[in-house]
Amino acid sequence: MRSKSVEWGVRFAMIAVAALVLAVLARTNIVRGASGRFLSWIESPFTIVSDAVGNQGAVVFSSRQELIAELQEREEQVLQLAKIAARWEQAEQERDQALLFLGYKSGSSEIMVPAKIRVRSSIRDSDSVLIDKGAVDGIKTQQAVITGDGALYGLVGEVFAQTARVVRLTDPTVVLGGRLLDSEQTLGVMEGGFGPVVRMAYVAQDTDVHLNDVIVTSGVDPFVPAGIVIGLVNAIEEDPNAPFLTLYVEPLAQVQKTRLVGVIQSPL
Amino acid sequence: MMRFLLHTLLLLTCLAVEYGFIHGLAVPWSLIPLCLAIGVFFVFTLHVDLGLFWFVGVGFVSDLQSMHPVGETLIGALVGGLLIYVVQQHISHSSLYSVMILGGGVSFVWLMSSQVLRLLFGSSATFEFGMILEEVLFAMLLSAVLLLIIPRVQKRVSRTIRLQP
Repeated sequence: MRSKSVEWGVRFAMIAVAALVLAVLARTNIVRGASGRFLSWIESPFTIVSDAVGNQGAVVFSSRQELIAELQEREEQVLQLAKIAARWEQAEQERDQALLFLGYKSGSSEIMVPAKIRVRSSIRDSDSVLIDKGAVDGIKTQQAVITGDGALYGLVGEVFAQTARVVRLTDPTVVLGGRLLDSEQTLGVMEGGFGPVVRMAYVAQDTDVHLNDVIVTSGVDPFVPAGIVIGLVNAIEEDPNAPFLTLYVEPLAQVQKTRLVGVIQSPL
Repeated sequence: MMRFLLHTLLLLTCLAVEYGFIHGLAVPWSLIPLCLAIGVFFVFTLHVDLGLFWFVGVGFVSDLQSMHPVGETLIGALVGGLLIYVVQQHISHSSLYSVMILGGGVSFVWLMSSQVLRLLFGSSATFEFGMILEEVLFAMLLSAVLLLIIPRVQKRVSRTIRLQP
């Protein structure tokens, strides 16, 4: 009996040592980079199928009332966005005219590296994607990544030789400054790690903020230019005893259907 | 050796399906722990070495795919080793109830350990207990389904296809 438990103990110890070696290997950059490329190669066909299926499965678990409420919420958001887009377009026209008056040349100085999403990894601790551009293309950590429609997708989290891992805004490691679309000063600090929404902390109590207001980047972060759309205010948490408000922002970047992203390499 | 090579390919395919397809679906479908359930199935059908290989493989790939690896390889190996010990020493035959209980138990211990480690290392700010329970439920159901279906399919296939010795 005793020899049997000793035998099991030895087996456990050997398994644990082997696993420990593998766990250490899994943290090395060379293994992570190479395996990322290899796994993305075998995962990408399944990711395409998953994109096609999309959120169809969610309908099974939603009640009729929930679906109607969501539809109404989306319609409200569309209306709100249409109003903002109209205001934005008008402001842009005015700016262009003002720049012409001042004699500035049009055009911007940003360098954007287009990258293809090789594979998406939605796991419990983080939502990240592997893109096909890496250190050789000038990608650096903390650079901003945007979608085709201009919404902030995430930040570069890890860089390998030919690939890079982009973490979504909902990742617990992401921290960046945000502001309201109409304002010029930083409103608060955006933090991930709160499920599908991003928490915006340290917002002053007297701030005039409403549900569905658009939050954009404030430009306080060195690699993230100001004015990139982050998302819409989803909930406002107000504690009369606390000096600050807490906002919960729903990111606008489409996760499911995005296949191409742009990595911003210089300020807009 | 050939068996392990084939199982490496099978493991990679199942991991690709889990990470590429299942995790891309809407919650709660995205919580289906396919590879974990297959590992439990192998342990229960007394292919303990293969079961452990699957557990370690799943943990290793979780560590590789994660931005914040917390040593899931080690968790997988220890949980797998513990399951093998329980199955070999304390369970006389693989009933449906024992598969469901141990499948769910393995999933629960694994998820709780990784969540606790993430909280300790500061890579997660929330403790999603509801999601853990949903995943445990899926693990229980899937382990039972695999144990019910695969032996029957194997039997039928071996009756229909007779391989030359």
